[in-house]
Amino acid sequence: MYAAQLTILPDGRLMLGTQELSRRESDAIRSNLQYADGSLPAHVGVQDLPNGQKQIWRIEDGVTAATTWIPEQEQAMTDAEKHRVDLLIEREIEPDPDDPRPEQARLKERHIHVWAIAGSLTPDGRNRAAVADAYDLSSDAVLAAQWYYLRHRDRFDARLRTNDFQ
Amino acid sequence: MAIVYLDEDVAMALAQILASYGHHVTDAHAERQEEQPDPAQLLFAAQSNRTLLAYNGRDHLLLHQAWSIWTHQWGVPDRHAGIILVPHVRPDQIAQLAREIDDILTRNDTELENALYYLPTLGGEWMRNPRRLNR
Repeated sequence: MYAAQLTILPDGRLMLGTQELSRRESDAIRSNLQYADGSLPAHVGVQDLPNGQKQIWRIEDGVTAATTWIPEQEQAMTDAEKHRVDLLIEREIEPDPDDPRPEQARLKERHIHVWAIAGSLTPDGRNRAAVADAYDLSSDAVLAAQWYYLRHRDRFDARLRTNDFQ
Repeated sequence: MAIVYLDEDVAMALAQILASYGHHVTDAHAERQEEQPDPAQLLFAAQSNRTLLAYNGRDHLLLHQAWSIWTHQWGVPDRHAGIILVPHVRPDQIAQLAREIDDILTRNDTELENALYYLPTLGGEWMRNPRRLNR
């Protein structure tokens, strides 16, 4: 358990100590830890959990406002579990024939780009069912998109920034 | 009411709500256009006199500017039926987004022809033909 400084980068993402966070991680922290006036605590408490997740909370008011950290889930997965994710991605996702970059990959189902699904998910990914309904997709397709996003997070975060949604 | 054509990456749920407001809504999947790149999507929308609605802002702003400048330069009379760029939202925000789109589509002073309307954020102000998108 330790304290880390929370700073805002010019592009709006956050930096935790010396670690630059992705847009999604930054959004997770903002949605959970910012004060009513929209400001963020200057320092936060951090707990590294054994499964690779972090818990973060506000120090100033003693509130254990543990944020839902985007888990580095694969760090805690067995090889068999990782293989199942590989198969899921292979079954559900394909490259865009016009642009083979990972951030332009799309779902085989309805040919919707993975970035569109990733941008619709909450930071903790718990709204998968709602996203599946909104896009008329199977839950497996949305889950595959979420995993694929996590494996190429920096590329997707950069791609989503070009949409300029804020 | 407007005739709106949704880009392939826009949620179906948005189409359903806009249709419930009385707009005629179709999308790239229904029109079998999902394999087409963005420039072809805009051309399809223009040729079928539909307003294109999309998330991916910068790509479509560039397309709109290229369309406007090049057709003018070449003396080509073709005009598109409008482009609407909206923020990419989560499912629980789609209803609000639909209300804001309906608002711009039904305003008396909205002139969609050959124009691009951009909503930077939910609850924000619509911008017409911005030179660049806010960040």
